Amino acid sequence: MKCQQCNEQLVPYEECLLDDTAAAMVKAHLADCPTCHSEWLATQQLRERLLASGNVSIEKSLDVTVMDQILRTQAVEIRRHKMRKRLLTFGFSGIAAALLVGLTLALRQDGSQTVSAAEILARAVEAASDLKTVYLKCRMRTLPQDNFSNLDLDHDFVDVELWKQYDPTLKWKIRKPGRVAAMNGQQTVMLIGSRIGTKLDKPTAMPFDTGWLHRLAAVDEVLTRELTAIAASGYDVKTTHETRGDDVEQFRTVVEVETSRKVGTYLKNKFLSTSDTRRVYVFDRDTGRLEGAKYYCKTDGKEVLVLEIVELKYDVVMDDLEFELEMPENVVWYREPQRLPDNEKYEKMTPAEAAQAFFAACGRSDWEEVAKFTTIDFSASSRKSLGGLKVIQLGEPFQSWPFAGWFVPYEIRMSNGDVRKHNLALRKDNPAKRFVVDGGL
Amino acid sequence: MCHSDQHCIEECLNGRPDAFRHLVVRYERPIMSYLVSRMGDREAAAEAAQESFVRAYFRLNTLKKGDSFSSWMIGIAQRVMLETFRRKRREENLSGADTPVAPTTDVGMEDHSELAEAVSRLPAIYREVIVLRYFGGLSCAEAADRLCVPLGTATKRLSRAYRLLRAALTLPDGQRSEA
Repeated sequence: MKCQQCNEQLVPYEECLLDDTAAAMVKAHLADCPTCHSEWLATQQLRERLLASGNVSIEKSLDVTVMDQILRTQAVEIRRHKMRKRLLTFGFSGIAAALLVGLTLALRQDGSQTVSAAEILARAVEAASDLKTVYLKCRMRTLPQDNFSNLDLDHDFVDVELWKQYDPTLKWKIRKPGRVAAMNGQQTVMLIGSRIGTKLDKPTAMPFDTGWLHRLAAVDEVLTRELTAIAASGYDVKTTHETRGDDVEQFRTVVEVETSRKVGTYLKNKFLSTSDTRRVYVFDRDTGRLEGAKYYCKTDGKEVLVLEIVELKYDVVMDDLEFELEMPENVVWYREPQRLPDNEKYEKMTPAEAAQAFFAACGRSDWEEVAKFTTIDFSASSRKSLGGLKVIQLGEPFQSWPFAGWFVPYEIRMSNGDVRKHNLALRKDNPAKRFVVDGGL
Repeated sequence: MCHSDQHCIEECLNGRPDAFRHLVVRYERPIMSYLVSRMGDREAAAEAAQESFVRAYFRLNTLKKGDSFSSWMIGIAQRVMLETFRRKRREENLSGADTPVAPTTDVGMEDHSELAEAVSRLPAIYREVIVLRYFGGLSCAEAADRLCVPLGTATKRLSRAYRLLRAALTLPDGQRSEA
């Protein structure tokens, strides 16, 4: 059982609504997982407080006193009504009319309370619960062909789309210019550019770096997190009403939440998860559903719109073919690093040594050695560009959350004389446990 | 709103006030529990609960079809309670008393006002399920039945209500979600 499943089952578990097998699975997970266990304990504390606060016995029902008072008040109202009639008869109709207008206004004010941001969000959470499918289209400042999660504040917007089916079988597809990934219920494939492919022979929920978009499409969870943040800040959120051109009134909720995680300087604002953002949500008045959202990144004292949800469709019919991805015949498959006969030598390398060895192999055009540091075979054009390179200098390796590996600053002179300066990304969280290049070339 | 609540309300609106008695009996415990939690004084809570039911009766025509009676009642009870506090403050100001105006807690009675306030600030759909489950003493299944929603929906709402309450109360062991 995964943490998310456990989390979803906690209330049914506490309320004894699960069958023996399901309850045993939750119990076992709670015994094994400290995070879920502490979550459960915190909820237990809350439940105990709620039970204690609700433990008020009714010694004597209020029904008799309430009904007596209602009847007495009604009698008074009838007397007042008769008096009002008399007043009208005596020519005080103007005063009575003014009183009536005042009363009507008071009642109207009483009945039309301002809808709070929390109520709007809660309604939208409900409206997005138990979806069968969702289609989401957003525009995002990102480099085409780069990672799905890449943010680039200086780049123009490109479209990113997600088709997702939750029920009856989880299937999905994500597309951005130069990169597409799909999961058809049995296997997961990704095509980068026109020929680099990655395949996992199993269904996956959010592999590669697609997690952020899958989380964004889980509208009920996104809005529940916002609601939780609002609750923690005392429900202090701006809400405005707007009317679109077609006279459909919309709610605009402005949610401001700062990133609270410690983020590495190098990767600050490179992903949504490493950015300080202000988020603006727009809801449909009739259905209560989320219709769009804007994410502004806060940087250097200004705000930059980095992502906008421009289309959101709930429960549309999706064809199975939508989740199939046809790979080109000349695809170059990503290969997971396997242990080498002399793997120990590479396993012991520091990030700086691995970068040095990789660039040296490129300089010698020793592609067999280069392959020990890469997960795809270099194309002819890459070999032409990197072959014969000379290292000008390598800097001090550094780490930056959330990337699990290391960055090695480098300056190299290519065989055509061009100088390239960047950070080589290396990681060793693979079965061979040796550093391989993960970007930055 | 459940048919039985709706039926009682329609009866009242059609000139048969006695049907309101069923609603009082059905909801007096959640309303009393809520008010005792917030006011800390059983006697004052009983007076406020009585006033709340009477006001609710005369405003039944403003309750929109489909809205939950229990959640609506909590809103009324909250307003009555605040008026009671204001009236008390005025009286104390007039008498020159130097005593605090915050709700007092009866001897032997635990102070649940912070929790009750957090409940009152929940969005209506989450507040009503908490009110029925904990202040009304109903089981989850009974609360779902009363709200006319599937059991799964009621448990999800309860789960979300817990998250919001924990965030609002900043319970020490709670992991606050990052938005």
